[in-house]
Amino acid sequence: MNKLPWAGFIAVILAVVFGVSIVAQSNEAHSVDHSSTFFALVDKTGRVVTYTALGLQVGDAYIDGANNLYEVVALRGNRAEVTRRGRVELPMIDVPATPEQALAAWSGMPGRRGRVAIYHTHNDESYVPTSGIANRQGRGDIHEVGRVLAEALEREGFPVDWSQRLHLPHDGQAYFRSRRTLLQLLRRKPQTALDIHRDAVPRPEEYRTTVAGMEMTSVRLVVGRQNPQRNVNLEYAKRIKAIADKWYPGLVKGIFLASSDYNQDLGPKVILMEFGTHTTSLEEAVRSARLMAQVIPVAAGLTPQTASSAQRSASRVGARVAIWILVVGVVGFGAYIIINREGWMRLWSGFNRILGNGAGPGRGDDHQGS
Amino acid sequence: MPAHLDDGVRVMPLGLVLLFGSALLVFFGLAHRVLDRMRLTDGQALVILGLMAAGSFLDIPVFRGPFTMTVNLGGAVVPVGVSIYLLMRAERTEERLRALLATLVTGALISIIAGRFHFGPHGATSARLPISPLWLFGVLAGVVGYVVAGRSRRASFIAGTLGLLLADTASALVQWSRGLPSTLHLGGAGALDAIVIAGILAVGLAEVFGESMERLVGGPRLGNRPAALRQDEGLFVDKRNGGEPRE
Repeated sequence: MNKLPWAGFIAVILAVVFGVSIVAQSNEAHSVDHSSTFFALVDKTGRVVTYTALGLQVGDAYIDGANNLYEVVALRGNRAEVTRRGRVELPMIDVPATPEQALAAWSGMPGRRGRVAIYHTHNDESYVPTSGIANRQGRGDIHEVGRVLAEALEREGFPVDWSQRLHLPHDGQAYFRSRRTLLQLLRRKPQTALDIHRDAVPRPEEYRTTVAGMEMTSVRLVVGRQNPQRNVNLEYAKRIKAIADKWYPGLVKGIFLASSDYNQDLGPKVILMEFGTHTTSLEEAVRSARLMAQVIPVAAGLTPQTASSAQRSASRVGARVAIWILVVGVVGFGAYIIINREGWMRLWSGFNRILGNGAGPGRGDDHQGS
Repeated sequence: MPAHLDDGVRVMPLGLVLLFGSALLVFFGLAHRVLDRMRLTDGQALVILGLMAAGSFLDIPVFRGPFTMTVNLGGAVVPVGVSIYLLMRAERTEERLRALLATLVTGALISIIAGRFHFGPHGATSARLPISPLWLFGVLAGVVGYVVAGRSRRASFIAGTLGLLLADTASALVQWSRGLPSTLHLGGAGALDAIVIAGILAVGLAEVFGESMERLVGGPRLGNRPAALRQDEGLFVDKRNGGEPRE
């Protein structure tokens, strides 16, 4: 039987299915308000630890403002049951008592200033009290937060690469698109890369706070649990929180360890920051961005004076990562050799070839299939 | 006592692991079976991997304006070129159609999943999947290539690279067709792009799964094996017979 017409028929059907799926996906990405579902993290006494619009999984974790560590143990509807696992120790960082003293100390000292990269995976995120909408088709209010953060860092003398590249639609491929942006930013060798977002919890009181006498939104940091460098990124997040807690208590609301990677596998100081939520105002988020611009340089080690402290912190965790890389590599390699029928022989032949002990396996002499 | 979480497994950035690991396998001659089925020599494979890595730094602008498009040499041109080469090297039209079918199915599934699951951190109208999309789409392409295209490693690679590229391009075109600003940077992350990762993961998964299944069933026996079982493409090429295919 000639299968060609059948294959062509199936191909046409699939092409139609593909086209329909594209349109359906596009409809959802454009029409949906990405702010309508959120979780309450509840401990076993029934107390709400926090609210989040993060799509939680069992095993996700949260470090709250008081550095208590909670782990998600069950999900029931909009309720995430968490268990407290103790308190997290933040790194001890030797910095002046106030950011003004730190800036004064740095400005008199020579040395290269580290570069900062800023981008927005979800460009459309906006603040309803300011713009009337939660998501704008195009560059939303979140770009203004990025602009203010970039300008504040530049005023302090740190070079900034702020990308306004669009990664729309706001769908499951957005992080693929922003991965490309991040890679291009990383070619300029920034010391840190910040993916600026806002949360989608419909409770403004969850983020609204008063810091340094000003009403503003707090900032939540997100680290990807499936990120291969997650412990190094987490260490960086803890540094940010430690410095913010010292200079601006309440600025950093907490640190989430959520499933996925958010492209944080691309660098040890790639971090996702949520400035407020869609029900707080842009003005409040901008105020917290100005304060965060003073915290980031110390946390990321952007000056020679702070670099060694940041490097020591990353190296400690990075050493364990390197060992794991080796272990996984050896295990994976070994598993492949076991599965591959002639694996051991070919590996031995390969070594002999490197050592110059005769020719390696020819393509035809032992390959019996082709 | 400070609190700790289960640290889990840590590896290098995924793309680097796959490229480096693939190069090692090729260099030690351990990928010969996969390469044979893909009609590639060790040298060709190493050159391809090298081009992907080196070409990562070259973005070729295609369009500028409301619809902006660039194409990365290492992340898009090279893997697409390899896919087209594999399609052209297929001995029969049926094999090509199977590979294209696998590509369409993969592209459709990626589009559907990307519309339904946002992979965080929020926008939680959609459900969540407990796996990063970087892994998911490569695994998906491997499964589709293996199941739809008759255990074909070649089709798995094609489905992974072209399927993801198709979904990415279609998404950008739909955005543009609605009058919305759209940018398409195909393969813009170079050797670390999802297109490369999906292709390598797909063929690797098909190979590992295929080998494991064959081992579990205790075969195949070589020598007297019927020709149709010698290769996953159903075509036996006997070099002892002057390279003439025999079925």
